[in-house]
Amino acid sequence: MSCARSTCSPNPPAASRRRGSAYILVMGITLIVTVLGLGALTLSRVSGKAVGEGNDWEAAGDLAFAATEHAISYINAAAAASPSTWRAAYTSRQTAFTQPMGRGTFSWALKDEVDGNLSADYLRPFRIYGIGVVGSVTRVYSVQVIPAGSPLDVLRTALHSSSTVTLTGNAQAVNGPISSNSTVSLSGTVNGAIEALATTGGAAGTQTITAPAPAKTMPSTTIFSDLSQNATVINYNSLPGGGTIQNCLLSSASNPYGTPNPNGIYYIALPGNQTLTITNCRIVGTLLISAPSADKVNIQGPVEWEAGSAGYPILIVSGSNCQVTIAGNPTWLSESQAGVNFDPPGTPYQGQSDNDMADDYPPQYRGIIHVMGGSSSSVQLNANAYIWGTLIADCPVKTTAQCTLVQNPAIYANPPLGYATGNAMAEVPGSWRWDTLP
Amino acid sequence: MEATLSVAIVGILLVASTGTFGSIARARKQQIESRTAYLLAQQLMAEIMQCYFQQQGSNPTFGPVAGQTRASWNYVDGYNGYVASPPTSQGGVALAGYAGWTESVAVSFVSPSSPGAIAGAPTTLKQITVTVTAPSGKSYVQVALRSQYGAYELIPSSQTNYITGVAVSLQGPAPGTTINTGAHPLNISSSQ
Repeated sequence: MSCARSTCSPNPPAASRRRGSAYILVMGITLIVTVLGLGALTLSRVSGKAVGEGNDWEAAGDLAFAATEHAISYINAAAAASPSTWRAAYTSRQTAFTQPMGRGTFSWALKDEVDGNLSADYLRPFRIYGIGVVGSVTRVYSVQVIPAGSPLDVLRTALHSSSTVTLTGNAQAVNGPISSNSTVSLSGTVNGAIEALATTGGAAGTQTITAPAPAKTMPSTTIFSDLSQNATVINYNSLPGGGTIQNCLLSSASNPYGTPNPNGIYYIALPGNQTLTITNCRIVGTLLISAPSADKVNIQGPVEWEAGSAGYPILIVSGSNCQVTIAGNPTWLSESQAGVNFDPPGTPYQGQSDNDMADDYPPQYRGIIHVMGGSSSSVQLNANAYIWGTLIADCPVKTTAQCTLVQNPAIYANPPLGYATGNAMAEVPGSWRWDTLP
Repeated sequence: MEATLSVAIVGILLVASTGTFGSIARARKQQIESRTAYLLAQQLMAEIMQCYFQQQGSNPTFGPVAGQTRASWNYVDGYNGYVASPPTSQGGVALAGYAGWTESVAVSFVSPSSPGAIAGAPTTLKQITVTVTAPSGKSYVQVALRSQYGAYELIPSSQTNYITGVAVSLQGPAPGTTINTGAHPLNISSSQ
């Protein structure tokens, strides 16, 4: 029997063994290239999405800021048109305006941070939330807004109380009157104008009395909580001497008790039945003092005190049954005696700073002092108190000795935020936040 | 037969992969271009946004004052009609790596009640449009608003210096990979 080689051989030829291997090789390469291609495509899509969202993020930020800018223009127009009713058109936290712009949309809402009722108090600040949406990106900026139109009439005065004012000793009122929505009691020597519902007693010196005078609108008490949101806390228990601020410089660049606040706003909470003493120091900023229960705030010169920035008051005391005493000193504040340079770079005095301890400063309280303690509280001005601004209180005020109260026309011309009323609304410097939806 | 099919499959694969990777490369180029453009637009926008709403003084006019340059524009509408190719810094120095790019600005009044429409008369609101055109001819637009009552209008009661705008330039590891952008801080961060 003959047997063909091709059919009888127990082992197939080499050509037959390779049949199909090319397909496997090609398919393998195809698979690898396909996987690589799909991976590259996916990577490209992810990268594209990231780039797109980055671009959208920038645009949404611009739109969120644009929303706040639009809102402040819009509500100023509304306030000018309807000064006493414009807020009724808005509901706290509800979108008030929506507008397509550029590659996205902006909208804004107003939020009353006290009780959610925007119309409850037209002196009360609120917050604008500007919202920008581009693609899948949403960004929110918010800023606090406050009435900043005409100055409150109390800023025309050197001293105003919604309660009684008792003048003894030797009180001098310059530029503006001593004012009360109640009664001014006169004794000792008083020079200056008096505006009150009524006056009692008599005093030496020269007075121009207007009585009865119309009651003056008091500033909104929310200014304390509004400013405290941007304040740096100074722990009362950390103060040396059982709650004493002395021999120090407190400003936007200097805080011996912690981190400096960029706006120079500091908050001190007294724990109740305690005393805070401020003496022999320089303060360029705003102190917010919470005195909740029978606390005492003693300010004893020499102290050189002025506002830090943007027209804030220098002192606000909020509490109940608290006693605030303010005294000056015939002796100037001395760097050498305090062992402190009170005008270093970063906190100049009248534009000048140095690195020595050879300067002296006149003990003055330059700005607005605002005490909101209710009828159970009191303010007492003792010897040599010199206030160049306005003292505002909703409690009885008494002068006991020589004190000088000089109203500052510049404060009236440019009222600090929270001490104005009327149509114009202004954004509060330092209150901007990168925020979440209201 | 087997070789023919293999060649065909590989050919198809090569065509498909070439097309895919070409698309990826084009997309990547487009991504880089758009990112570069929007960041550049942001730099100019940030510079404009921190300006005053209008010229300071008693009789402000709209638009740049004759003779002034970009370095002295501290009011928003000073930038109206501004065109630069290649883009420059605020000081007028051409930005490296932006040959063939163009940036331009349009500023106009818009009504607070209808901010999408150009107003014929002065209002309390201005729309700023920054357009960056890439060498490819594609334009990228950024839009924003500034108010007469806005963030940069309040004058501090006491003299202080603080930062209102920052121009950022980032140099990548490879030559010619500089990215320019900017920001305009809203809060006074610190006295300078």
